[in-house]
Amino acid sequence: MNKRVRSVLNSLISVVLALVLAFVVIGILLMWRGYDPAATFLALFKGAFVGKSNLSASLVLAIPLILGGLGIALSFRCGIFNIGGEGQLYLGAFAATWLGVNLQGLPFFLHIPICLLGSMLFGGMWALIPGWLKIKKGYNETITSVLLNYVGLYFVNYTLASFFKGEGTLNNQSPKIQESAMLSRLIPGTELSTSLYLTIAIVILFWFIFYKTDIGFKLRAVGANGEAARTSGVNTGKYLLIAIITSGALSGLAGSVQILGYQHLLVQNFSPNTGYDIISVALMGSLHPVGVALAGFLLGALRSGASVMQIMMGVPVTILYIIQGIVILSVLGFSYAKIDFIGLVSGLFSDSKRGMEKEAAK
Amino acid sequence: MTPVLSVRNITKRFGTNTANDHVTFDLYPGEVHSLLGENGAGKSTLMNVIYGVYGADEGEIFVNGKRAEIASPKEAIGLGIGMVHQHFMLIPAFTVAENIVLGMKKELRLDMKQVEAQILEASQKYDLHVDPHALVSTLSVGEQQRVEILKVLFRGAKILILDEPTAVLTPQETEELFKILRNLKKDGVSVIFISHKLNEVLSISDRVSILRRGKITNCFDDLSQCDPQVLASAMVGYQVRLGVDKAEQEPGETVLEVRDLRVDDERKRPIIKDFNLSVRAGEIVGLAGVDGNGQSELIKGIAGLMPLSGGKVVLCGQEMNGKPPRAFIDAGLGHIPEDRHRQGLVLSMSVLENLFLETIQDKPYSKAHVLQKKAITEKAKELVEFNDIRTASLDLEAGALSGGNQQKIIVGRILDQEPKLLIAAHPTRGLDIGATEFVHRCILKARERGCAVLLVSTELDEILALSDRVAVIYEGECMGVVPQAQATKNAIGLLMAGVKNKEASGTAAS
Repeated sequence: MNKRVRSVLNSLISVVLALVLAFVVIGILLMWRGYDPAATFLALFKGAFVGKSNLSASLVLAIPLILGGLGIALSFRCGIFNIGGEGQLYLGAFAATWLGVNLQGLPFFLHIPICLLGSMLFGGMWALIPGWLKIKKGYNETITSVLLNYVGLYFVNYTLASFFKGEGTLNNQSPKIQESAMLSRLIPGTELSTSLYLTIAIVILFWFIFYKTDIGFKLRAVGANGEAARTSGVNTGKYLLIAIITSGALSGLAGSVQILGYQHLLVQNFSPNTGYDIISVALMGSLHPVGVALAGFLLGALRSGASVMQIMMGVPVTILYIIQGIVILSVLGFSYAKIDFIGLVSGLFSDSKRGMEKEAAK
Repeated sequence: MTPVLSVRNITKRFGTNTANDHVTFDLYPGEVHSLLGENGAGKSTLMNVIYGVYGADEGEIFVNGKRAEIASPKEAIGLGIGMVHQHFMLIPAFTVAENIVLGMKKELRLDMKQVEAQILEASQKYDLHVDPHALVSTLSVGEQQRVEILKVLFRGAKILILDEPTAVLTPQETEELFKILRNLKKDGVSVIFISHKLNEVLSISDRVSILRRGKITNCFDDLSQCDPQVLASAMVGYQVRLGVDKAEQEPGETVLEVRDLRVDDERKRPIIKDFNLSVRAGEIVGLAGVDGNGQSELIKGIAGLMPLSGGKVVLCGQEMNGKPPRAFIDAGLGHIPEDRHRQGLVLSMSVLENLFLETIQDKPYSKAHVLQKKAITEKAKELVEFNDIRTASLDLEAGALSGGNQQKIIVGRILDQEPKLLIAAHPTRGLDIGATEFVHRCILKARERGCAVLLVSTELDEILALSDRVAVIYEGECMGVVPQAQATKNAIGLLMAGVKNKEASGTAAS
């Protein structure tokens, strides 16, 4: 079997096993609390996938997770650990909202790209700070980036309480953006916007850059063994910077698509913890663009299904976080232990064949 | 005579891999019995079984004719078996006496005076000259090794296992070690000597056993009939011809010029001190020296991987100071790094990807940043075939290959770029005889093509066989440059130990 197919199958199996494990644990928990597990899971499933409005609600939640997750996957793959998605996302959303409110008289085909690029620029620049400190000064980027989350988040809160506060409201929120900055709806009556197309395009683009260009080749080499990459002439500092800036830009985009797509104004804490959830998505997706897309969709669907479940069954949404935690821990555990599920299964059928492959490998 | 140590039919398996396959091995009182074999032949496994680190799956061990169950190194020591590891286990901040007594005394009160007296007595008895009061950190490598041997003898060892003991020694220090071993023999101590240096094995051993793929294939009881050729052939299992064919050749213009080079480590301590060296086209300059005398820093300085704190590097007429690594490669540098796992390969990437670490962005492999799969695969197939890289597939992770095949990936891809200067750092370290031959042939071919080669190695035999001139590095300084004709083991050995030789430095200046 082709090695790549094998590793993809292995990650898929590990996610499925992790989900099964998570649902078994939750099932026990539900029975203990006197809920009917089967009915609860059915409600969760229906809420996530069945019907136009449920499915689009899932996609709406999935889009920022996928976009941000791609950026995190890129930075992790390159060996620079951007944990600053939260701050980058809020600053991106701020930039997009500000441009969306204050630029007037632009046609939508200019206004929307300007807002999106603005959010990417802000997110990217926010990520540049830990990146630059890492490359020039050797500061640990995980610490600097996570600390900058608070700076970013509270800066945005401050603007919403002061100069960027909308008129005629007691809430700390921005004015509404211009119509020309709003993304159009794909399905009337839902919040799903054309940002879905943008997301799909970016997933494909990322996959292409990662595996089909020399830039992706070098990003992967730097992440897997920076010293070997440097010895063979790769400017590792440059690639680390590219990786973290791109990562920040995508986190910014994960913020702006929510504003331009359906929220249309910026509220304090409008997207709590998304900047951390995207790390989970990246890890669940094995840092592979397509894996990230699937993981983001899965998490978005669980989120959206959980709220339906809460309404129908009275089971609190928070059990979802338990599912999320178990899934991530198990997926990471499986990949850390390097369990070769395909090998295990085929080994049950023919022990000798595996031995031969190993010999041939030598 | 009963053997002091008798190993009978020892088998040790790791998973499906049999590291020792029914190994039988006898050691008689007062003999030096060498164990010779390539990497991965099972020498270390066997020693670890004898020393109680691993339990054997099958077989028995007899010590002085009595069956012994050795479950831990502690029990091995109790039976009079002592091991001197390749990497010393000494505490630098302790004195010799403190190191020797460490972990030994059971009484509450420690009478250091008495211990020191005992050590002095033992060291005189065996001609193991060390000062018991000296701090280990002030000792040379050879002296530290003597402390290790003394430590083992002090615990009552009658069987001494020496694992590659000469790897860190200069030729003179090696001679001294052999003198000590001969003294120990007279006293009835038996020695298992593990090495892959054929000449040394022949000069010190009474008998030689060859381990190949986990089995003892030969045991030479009479070494008068043996030469390195015979031993090498027995090691690999086919006829090998040692030595290299090197044609006379006039070197061309200077390709690498290193002037007053200074390199500091991260803590700003000077490592390389005013180093001067030049390498001309079509010549091989060997850089000899005991490991850890600044070779890594010198190479990194010359390859642009470490900042210079003084002097300059001129490559093909271009001054390279302050330029990034890529500029060095573009100027014609090919670098076979000393650590193939850390610097030479990305182990988690495929064999195919590892063949293009330097060249991936070049035409025809990339066009407008897009990888050209067809051109890449064709070139990879060509490189794999030309360099005889044995891999099940191009998509296999480089980490899954044997050391020899990994090194062939590096050597193959570097020489394919036809560098003007080749830095080959320990290019055959840890390789088997077949792969070593291949790498040597590649280096000589590069020389024939007019490539300037800087060969860095701690294996003096390798340096002397390949080089046109030999430079010696000692504590970051160039001790001298000697033409091949004058480069005897003795002359180089003295320089390696830091003894400046007027003649040699005279040649360096010219």
